[in-house]
Amino acid sequence: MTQREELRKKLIGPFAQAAAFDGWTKSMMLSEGQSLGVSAAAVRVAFPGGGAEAFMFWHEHDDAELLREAPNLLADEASTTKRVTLLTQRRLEMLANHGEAHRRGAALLSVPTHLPNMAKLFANMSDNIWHAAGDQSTDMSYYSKRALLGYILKTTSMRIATDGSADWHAFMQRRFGEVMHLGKWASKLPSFGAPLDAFFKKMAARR
Amino acid sequence: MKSTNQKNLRIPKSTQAEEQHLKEMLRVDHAGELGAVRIYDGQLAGLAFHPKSASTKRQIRHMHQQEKEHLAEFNQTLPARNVRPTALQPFWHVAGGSLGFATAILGEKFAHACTAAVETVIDHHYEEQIQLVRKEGDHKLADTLKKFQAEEVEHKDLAISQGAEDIPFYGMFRQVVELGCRTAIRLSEKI
Repeated sequence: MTQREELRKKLIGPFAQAAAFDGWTKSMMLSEGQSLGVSAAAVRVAFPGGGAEAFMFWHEHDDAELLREAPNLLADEASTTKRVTLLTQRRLEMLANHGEAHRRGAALLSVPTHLPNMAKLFANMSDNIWHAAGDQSTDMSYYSKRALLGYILKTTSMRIATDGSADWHAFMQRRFGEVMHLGKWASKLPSFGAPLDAFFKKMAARR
Repeated sequence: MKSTNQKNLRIPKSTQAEEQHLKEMLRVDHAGELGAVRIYDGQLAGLAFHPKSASTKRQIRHMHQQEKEHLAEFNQTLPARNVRPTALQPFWHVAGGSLGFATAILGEKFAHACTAAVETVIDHHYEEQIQLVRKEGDHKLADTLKKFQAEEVEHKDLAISQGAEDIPFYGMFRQVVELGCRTAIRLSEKI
């Protein structure tokens, strides 16, 4: 691990705490750095992209944390659906523990120039959960799985950010219900290459 | 536990850029084997138009089987190393199948010419990758790749011995197919 990585890890916890009150601002980062004995220059080197980069790194950091926790959390759970639900719930709990910090960060990323970062944030979160759940897919379902879970994460995190007092667990379960329903419907669709496959099979059987 | 197994398979220390490049190459390997399986699928269908091609069919079935084994191996490697598969899969599925079918319709020698051209590009790709993997000290992966490369070269030699180079405009045909394969590699690295 590089020195810079270490510095980023040291700063991110206090940043997330303070962001709930001050937002992911430059002044918050500098004053938090100061109270930890990190110079303003070092803070700038750690997060040259400012608050937005710190916010992104905070989520990356929590994703890595989830991956470490995964073996304990999942224990012997065999059902993929349950594994993913457990991991998603844990990941969103991490987010809800700092719901206000997430709300401030999400507001920062909601400007159009940060649209790719916003997409990346939830794409990484979703990918990390599937990876931790031991997903083995190498076909196009790899992408549909991640997109659908991304939808759950995005909507539920918005629910947490806008109404932290509400019970988001039930909300998340309802989103899972929707996605399962959609999955059942989508599995009935013919695959893209199916007509060609059928033709090849017919031809190859001919003598 | 699946996730604990994955830790043991982690790539030995390497710079981030090299790791990224290796992931891209593994994605290409997977896409390439997928394409190869599809080419032979298409060829077996196309050869139905040539009733006297029983021995060629037998050879193609053998190569088809080997490509399927390669694909099965990469289907394991990708998730273990957290490499995403290429998003262009449905496209390669159809493109590979069509290439195989079209060449086989033209005749056995065209089918072999197609194999020779494709395997030449794959051979180069594996060679480049093996050197990178050896440099990083991941000898287990390097040995697997070496084995696959040897089989691909075998396919190429077989195709040439069966008269791949006898078709009209072989040079031009090869250039076109090789260009297609190289384009597919570049696209699959990133997409």
